[in-house]
Amino acid sequence: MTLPAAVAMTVFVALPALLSLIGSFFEIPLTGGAWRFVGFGNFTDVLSDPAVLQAIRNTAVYSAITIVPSLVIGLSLALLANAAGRGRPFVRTVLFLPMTANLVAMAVVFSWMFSYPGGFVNQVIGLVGAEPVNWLGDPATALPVVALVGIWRTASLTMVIFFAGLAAMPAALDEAARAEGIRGLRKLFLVTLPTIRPTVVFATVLAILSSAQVFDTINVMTQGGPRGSTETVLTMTWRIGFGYFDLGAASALAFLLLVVLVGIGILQRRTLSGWGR
Amino acid sequence: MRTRSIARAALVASVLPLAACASDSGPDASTAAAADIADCDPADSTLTITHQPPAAEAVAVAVEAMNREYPELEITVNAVQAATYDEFTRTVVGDIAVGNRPDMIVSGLGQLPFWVEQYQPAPIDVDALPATYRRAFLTAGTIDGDVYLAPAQVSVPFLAVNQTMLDQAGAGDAEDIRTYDDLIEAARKVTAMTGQPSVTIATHNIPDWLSQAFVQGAGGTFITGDGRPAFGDGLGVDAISIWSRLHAENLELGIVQDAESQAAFDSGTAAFLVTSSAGIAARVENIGDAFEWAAVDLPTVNGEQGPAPAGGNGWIVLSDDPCRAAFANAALAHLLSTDGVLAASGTSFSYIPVDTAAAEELLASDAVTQQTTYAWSFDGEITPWGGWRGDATAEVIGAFRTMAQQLQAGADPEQTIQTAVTTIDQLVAE
Amino acid sequence: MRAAARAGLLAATCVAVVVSLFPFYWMVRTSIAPADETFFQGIAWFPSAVDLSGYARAWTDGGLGRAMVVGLLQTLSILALQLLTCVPAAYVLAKVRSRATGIALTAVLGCLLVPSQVTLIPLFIGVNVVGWSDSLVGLVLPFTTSAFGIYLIRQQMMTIPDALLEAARADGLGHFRRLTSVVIPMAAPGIAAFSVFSVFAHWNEYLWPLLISRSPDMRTPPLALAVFQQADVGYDYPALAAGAVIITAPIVVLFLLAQKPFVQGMSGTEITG
Repeated sequence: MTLPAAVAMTVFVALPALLSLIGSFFEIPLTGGAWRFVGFGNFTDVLSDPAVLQAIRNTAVYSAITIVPSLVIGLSLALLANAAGRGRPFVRTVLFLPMTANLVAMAVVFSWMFSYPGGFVNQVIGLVGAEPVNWLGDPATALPVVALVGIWRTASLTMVIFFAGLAAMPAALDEAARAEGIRGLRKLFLVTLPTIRPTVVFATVLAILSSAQVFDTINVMTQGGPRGSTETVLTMTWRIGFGYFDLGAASALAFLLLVVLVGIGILQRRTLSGWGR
Repeated sequence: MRTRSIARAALVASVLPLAACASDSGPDASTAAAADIADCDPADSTLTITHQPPAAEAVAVAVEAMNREYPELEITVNAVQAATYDEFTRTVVGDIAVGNRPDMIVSGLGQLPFWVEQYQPAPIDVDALPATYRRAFLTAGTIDGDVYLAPAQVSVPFLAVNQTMLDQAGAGDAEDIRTYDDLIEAARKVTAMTGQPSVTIATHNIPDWLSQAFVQGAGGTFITGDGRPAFGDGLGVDAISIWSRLHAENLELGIVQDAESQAAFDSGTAAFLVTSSAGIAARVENIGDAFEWAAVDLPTVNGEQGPAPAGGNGWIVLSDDPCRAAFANAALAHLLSTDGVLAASGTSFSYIPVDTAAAEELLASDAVTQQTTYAWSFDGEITPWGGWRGDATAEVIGAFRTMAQQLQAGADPEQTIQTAVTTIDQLVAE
Repeated sequence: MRAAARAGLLAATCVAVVVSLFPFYWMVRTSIAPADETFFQGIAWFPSAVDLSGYARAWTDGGLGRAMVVGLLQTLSILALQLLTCVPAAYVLAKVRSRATGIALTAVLGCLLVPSQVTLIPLFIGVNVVGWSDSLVGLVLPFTTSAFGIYLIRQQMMTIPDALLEAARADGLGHFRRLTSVVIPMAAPGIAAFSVFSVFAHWNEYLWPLLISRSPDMRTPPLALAVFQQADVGYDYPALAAGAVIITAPIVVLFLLAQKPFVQGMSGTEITG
């Protein structure tokens, strides 16, 4: 019964990934001509390219400033939606909405909101007398703004997961905590989080994946600029592969990212496969 | 042919498609010179046209004409939904890599060397072009004396000026802005009135094109005959340092993205915009009656009026079969006929018409305004866009982008521009 | 104190609601505003006039009607294939204990981590060589199965008591019958939750259709919007926003209809409220 899935997974995921790995040891001119074996040449090339190193740094920074806030905000929102009284269904629905957004279209809307000098955000900060900020034009602010869009979206996703985890918590646990007089943050850390630990791990993995693989928003909002400040590993892979037509180097870079992600996956494997047991 | 498809099937079966294509798409698929169309049977031939959205109207005209002329010819139209010429190039390269080579494509003029070097297209049959086609534009599609591309939708960089704001600030007339000094003087007055920078020259999409326009406009040399950067001399540095000069006086907004910079002008935030004449129609549409504005020539550092680099796009014939190449050239004549050009430069666009009859008709139409007239009556001298070694094009543009954005942020012009010259020289020399 | 806490809670909820909704609001606002009000109109909450011409252009020039049909066919085909492949696999991974399933689970988790860009180029070349570019098959096939789907549905199936399956086996039901008559009904919320995820993801998918579809007839909804974002010619903001509204609306409606089973499926329990 696993056969269809196994075949599909092999043909559409494992095999292409393997081909990518093989390809990363060759020079592959997409514009024609034969492959040439270059050993680890592509890997040393990409790792010595300052633009690629900047992209790796940016990805690390982007991940750092999106993963934790997405999780914290997602959890807070889930608790908030849980606590909301009569408006609960409405609040829940609204907070889930960002997850449904078409990122390509939404990224355009965010570029309008952050446009300089008179975009919505600048108008708002102008109310308190602040000078307009060139959000997407300044290398110092471009990455945080793109990250903000990432948080907007990912927090909604993690919130759904936390919300579901909270809903699955036995009511008896709640009552017991109340009887013991445990509430507020102490309850969160002593009772709630340990109970929904697998949910936390799952949400974390999803947040890591969506951060490390950010592409659509950057492609629409900044295309990696200004001056490479929002270039990430995946946009760089795309640029090398389909802009410079150097598939070998692109494969090498994509593969490095894959190694890191699989590494994280291995660390979390036990918890992941155990969730729901 | 038969052995090739069997070999291909075998390779697919052995699930190594990647290797299959890389070895298959090489030099064996070189371009064929066009046969005499009289020797070709339309029923035995096909024609594949790959284009992107701005060419859609003209393609419709040409396909209809071809269907009438050669009812038996099977024509396939691939309308790639790419937003930029780079994105389009990427898609077509992918198609060719897997054996789907189109017979004709519409290419950004800046990508011409890339196509010529990587895919050896056949020179275009210039004699077959309509009599009213403006042959002077073929310069923009010529490499080493051969015409590989027939420009279809041409544009040049220009300066858009919000005359209403100039009047309010007492900053004179748009038409009088000829030099950087004129621009800076007018911009100072507008900025003094509004309290914010008044010029916007975006640096993301076309930094190389604008740099070329600034240098050539001043009579300088941008690129040498053998494709090396030549803008590192005094005149080149002065011409390109427009960004840093404006920044030094806080006159330039610092907007990076082109669409955002155009929007700053449309909304009356920026009084001066440097952009492509292709966007004039969109400006007219967006601005409406909100304010008076004018399209004028780019100011230059010394008031000279040198040739502009031609932007926009044109057709390249990539057929690898003599008969299909012949039909492609026949289609080209329709694409660039008066009707085709009217569709391509038509009233919803503001490309410079490449056909004299079409230009006259457009200038007599209701859609004519000061601004569209600027595009439709453009008669200046043009040069090819860029000319860097084809496979380095994307990286060279990247180097220009970095340079322009550093200047825009106030970097030292001499040092920044020399760094760009060195970087680009290395890229094209590799 | 209690009142202050409640007020704080209420304020936080309001902020969260506004932040979530605002981009959607701005999208709708732009779609109905006259072209010259797209940008920089101060904090104009409402456009000065309603101009619906953007919708007309989005529908006709963008060919959104046709694109929505293609998008629907693509999304539903993918969903059907994914359910056919994922549900049985999830069942085996959840309920058959053996060394092999342990290894298979590791493989699934491994595939979950493969970024789509790693597989993009080989898949693109493969699909073209077989001749499936610019076809529904080419749009759909690479998404035949989903590691995420197998994982999510498996988690739901883990909650089904083994005793129930044992009873079914004692009644002489084979794996297939046990799957259809016991497991699927009980795992329905999980399957529904995954379905919603799948539909969202593939309706909004941009990169793969951009590589595969060629003719106007094969445009998917996000691709149709590219017509209004021509770098050379300039952007048509009202039409772009109108198009975005049109392609987002079905997803939002679907979500409003499906959110209850969706959350239920994610948590594996009944929810209230």
